[in-house]
Parts: sequence; C-alpha cells; structure tokens
Amino acid sequence: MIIRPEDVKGDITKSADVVVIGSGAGGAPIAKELAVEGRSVVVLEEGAHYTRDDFKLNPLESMMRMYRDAGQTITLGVPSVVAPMGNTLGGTTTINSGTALRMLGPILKKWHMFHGLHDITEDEMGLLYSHLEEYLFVKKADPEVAGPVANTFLEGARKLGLSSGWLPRNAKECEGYGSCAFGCPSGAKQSMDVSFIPDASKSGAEFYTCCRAESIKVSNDVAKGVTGRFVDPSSGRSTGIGITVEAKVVVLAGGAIYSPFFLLRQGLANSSGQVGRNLEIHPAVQTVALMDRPMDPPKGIPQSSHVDEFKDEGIMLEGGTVPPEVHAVTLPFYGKAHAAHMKQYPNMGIFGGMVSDIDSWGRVLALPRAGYSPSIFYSLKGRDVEKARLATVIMAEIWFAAGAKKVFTAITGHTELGSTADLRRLAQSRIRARDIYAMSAYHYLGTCRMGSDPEWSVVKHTGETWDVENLFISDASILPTSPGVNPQLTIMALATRNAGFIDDKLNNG
Amino acid sequence: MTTREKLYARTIAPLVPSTLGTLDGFPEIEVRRVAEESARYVCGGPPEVFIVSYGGVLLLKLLALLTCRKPFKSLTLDEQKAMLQKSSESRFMALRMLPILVGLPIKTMFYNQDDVCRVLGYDRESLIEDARQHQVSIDR
Repeated sequence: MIIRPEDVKGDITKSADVVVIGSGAGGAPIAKELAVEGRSVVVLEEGAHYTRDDFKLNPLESMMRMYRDAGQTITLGVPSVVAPMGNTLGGTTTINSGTALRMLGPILKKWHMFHGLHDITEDEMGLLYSHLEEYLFVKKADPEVAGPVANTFLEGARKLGLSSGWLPRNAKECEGYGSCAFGCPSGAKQSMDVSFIPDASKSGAEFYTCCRAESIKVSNDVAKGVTGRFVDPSSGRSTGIGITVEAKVVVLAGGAIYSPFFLLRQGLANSSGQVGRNLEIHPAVQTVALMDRPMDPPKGIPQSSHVDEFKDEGIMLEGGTVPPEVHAVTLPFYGKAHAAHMKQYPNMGIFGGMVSDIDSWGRVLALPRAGYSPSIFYSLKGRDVEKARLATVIMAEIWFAAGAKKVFTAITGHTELGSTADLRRLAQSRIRARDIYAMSAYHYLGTCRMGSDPEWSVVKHTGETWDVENLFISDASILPTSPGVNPQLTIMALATRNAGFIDDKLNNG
Repeated sequence: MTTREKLYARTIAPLVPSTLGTLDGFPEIEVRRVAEESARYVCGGPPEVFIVSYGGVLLLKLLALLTCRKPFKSLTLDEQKAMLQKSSESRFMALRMLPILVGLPIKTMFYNQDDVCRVLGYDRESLIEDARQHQVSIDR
C-alpha cells in the first residue's frame, strides 16, 4: 500500500520486521524481496508519489517536484558541479535515464584485492544481474525509436572505427518520448515506482510518502526502529505529524549523499571515521553539435547509445537529447546570438562524456546550515580534468565525422569549434579544472563503503554496519569504488543480495 | 511570492532582455513573468545557489558601473549583451561564471514556455497525448 500524507490524520506507531528508509534502487528491491518472503515491511520515503499521469514532459515542473533542491544541488569545489538527485517515490530511478549496465569485469577483482570483498563472487553477481535484467525487461535500445541524434552520433563513431552501440535499458515497449529524466509519461521505463514498489505493495509492504526519517533508535548497539516526520512536499517543512516504527531490522537506503548525512547527524556507525568520505562521482561534460539536417530533438530516447572504445581509460560517452529549456543553458551565448543559436535547436544534437574511472574524491559533511541538506565537497583533480578534455575532443571529432557544421563545448576558450583546425587546437591544449564552465555529475558513490576491515569501511559485505547490529545500508554509498558504468543495476543487485542476509538474520531470531 | 523571491525578481528583471535577445518568430519576452519564475526557481534551490546567483546579479551591475560608468539598465541592449558576452569570455573564473549563473534561470524559464517550444518544433501537448495512447501495461 502506498500511503500519501493526506491519508495520515495523526501520529502513527507501528511495528514491523523491517523498516526501510528510502525507496530508490537500494531500498525498493529489499522491500520487495522481504515482503514476498512474508516479512512485514514499512518503507519511509521523503519524496511524494507521482504517477505517469502526472508527468507532463515539463523539465521545470519535474525538477521543482521530484528533484532534491529543485535540481540545483551543487558541489562545493572547482569546478562547482550540478548534482541532480531524485526526491520522489522510486528515488533517482524515477528521474534517471534508464541505462542498465553490468559492472565492468575488472572492478569486482579490484573490490576483492583492495577491499577484501571475496564473498561477492562473479558468479553470484552474474545470477543477480540476469534475474534483474529479466524482471526489469532490460534490452538494448531500439535504433528505430532512439531518434536521429543517437543514430547520427553512432554513424560518426563508426566512420572513425570506434567501438559503439546501443545501451541496455530497463524499459518495456519504449516509444521514445524524450523525457526519462523528468518522469516517463508512458510508464515504459521500469523505475522502482512501476516495478519493485507495486510488487512489494502487493505483498503487503507499506510505503509512507512525504515522510522524512529523523533518527534510528539504537539500544546497546542494536538498531530497534526509526522515528520520522511527515513533510509538506512543496516546502519540505514538517506537518507536525510523526511516525515511529519499531523494527527488528533497519535498512538505510537514502543514497550516497543523504545516507552518510543521516548517519553523521546522528553520530552513528562511524567508528571508522569513513562515513561521508571517499565520495566518488561520475563527472560529465557535454558537446552540442549543429548539423545540416533535422535532428528532431528531444523526441527519441534521451540516453540510448554509447561509445565505449575508451572505457578502459575511464571515459564513457553516452547520450543524448534534451528538451529546449535544458538545451538553452548549454549554449554560452547572450542576447540575439543566443536566440539565433536556439532557433537552430531542431538541427542540434547533444552528447555527454562521463569520466567513469575517477581519481578525484570528495566528502559529504553535516555542517550547520539552513534546511535539511548536506554539504558536498568535491573538486575535479589531476587526470580527471584531462579525461574531461579528452572526452570533449573525442565527442567533437565524432560529431565532425558525422557531418557537424559546428560543435559547442563547455571548455573556456574552445566554446565554439567551427573546423577541424579548432578541434586540433583543443586537442593540443592544456586545461585546468576551472576552465570547464559547465559540468554535471551523476552516480554518487562510496560514502559508506563496504569492506572486510572495520577500520576502513562502514559496512560488511552483507550491508550490515560494523558498529550497529541489525542496521543495514543498501544504496550507492556502499559501493567501494565506481562500477565503471551507470550504477543502478549494481545497486539493485547488491540490494537483492543483502535482502537474503536480512532474511537469514530474521530467521535466526 | 515571498519577500526573497520578490527581491530576486526585481533585481534580475533588467537582465532578462539582454540575456535572451529577440528574433523574428519568437514570442515576445514577458520580462516580469520570466523574472518572477526565475525567482521562484532559484529560491526553491539550496541557500548557496540563491546567494551565488543573487550576488552574481549584483556583481554584474557593479561591473557595469565600473567599466561603462553607467548603471546596467541605462546601457543599450547591445551594450548589455556585449558586457555579458565579454564577461563570459574573461580569463578570470569568477567573472566568467557571472553571466552563466545569472543566465541559467532566465534561459530555463523562457524556453520552458509552451509557445516558445512550439516555435522550436517541440509540441509538448501532442507528445503527451501520444504517450497517453501508448501507456505500457503494468503487468509483469
């Protein structure tokens, strides 16, 4: 059952086997797996519940309603990076691109060697991935539906002989409405709100929306439940109605920014001092191309194709269409020049380059400040700046190979490339982090990392914290390093795996 | 509107025409509407975004006084636009970021309008209608 704030008339006290904080890629699979096993499950989700009938292909409306900080969360550092996060039932899966990739092979070996996670085997992960791929209808994007932008970019990549292809996506009968990041209007994208959550709900799990968890009840280093408060979805302010859930197991699944923030505020599970540290993100730069033929944006699949030739060097290219209001802010022009460029929007395509193997680390802190939000410190360092530049060069080269008349980049001094000579100048240049004037970041990871050493990690391979018995963490924060690709499928796989350990724990009393 | 939103809208309004520019075929810019919606958007974000964005607008206006010896609103549209463009190409990061910060909400609000989207070939309404006809079964 999904409970909306208007259904709640007074304070609530409940008891359950499991209480889960958060309903995204880490929380929803656990809720479903345990509910199907007959466990009583209560989920507290801070965001509101929207359905496909509420999705109006309007980015602004979606950002104001379904994104944290209206989509304006930024990191503090150089360059300052926009870090979008979901705040709605289904978490970020409701507003992500739907890319469903398995972790790169060598990464798991890295987890074994450097983090002692030998219990997570390749075979086990393979089975979990297969199960999820079947459940979520994962298949490669259909080139017929993907739209001209993706097809044109891949045509350029093929001309240059670069390894490229169609991305696997958790989408069923997708017709390409170009709005994955703002809520799928046809319900094709299999985000948590249309997959695990309805199934968990059918098995008896209760989802309280607009309900912010405030603290985890702990007694003698054992988690006993959660207290929370209902909030007004538009202002985020408390409605004055509270909830208390007594539970045998508590699962924290608030994501790699809010889970450590939650623990730091309460001073929990941090004897290692690692909570909030080791923040990894996938920083991304974009290029915009002006073509001599219609690109028909944003119709198509916003993120349907990729160039993975440079994945071993830590660069993945994925893209790309965006609606006009998002496109407008990527063009570094003002006045008539901006309007003239925007008028050519129908002939423009956009593609993104992600630094997938990163050297830069950041930190999440709970500093005293207004509102309920953490401070995120992150600066792009060393080789990552170089990778961002390289990604831009490669994308521009691909666009020119595909017939682009001009390419616009986010690198100062190289914002408009009109010829291969301009491209050569960029290819031979050296840039600093501050020269990248527009950058976004996705896939925040690692802030409550898993490991075999309690002095260097926050949770065991099972997801249970070293410090507090029966307190599990299940989200991107437990990944000790980037999986090298979009992480949602890996988060779900680990959540499904950890549901098994929680079930065992409940069986054993 | 809150006091903070009103303050932001009033401060950013003079920058709306020069940030957007006009062209034949585009709907007329409703400066007040764009400024007010920009204010709602920026004030809906985290406090640091408001501080940086509001501070950015004030700094740009100060820059006009220092470099052109005139208040920003007394500059011609072309002068205003030239100032924004020059600032965006500055070798100093802080100056470079000013027009980007200020331009972000303004550009977002204007190009979010349905009539502007239609000029660009994006008919949101008909796509929504199409999506309603193609709703996917929730059965697994």
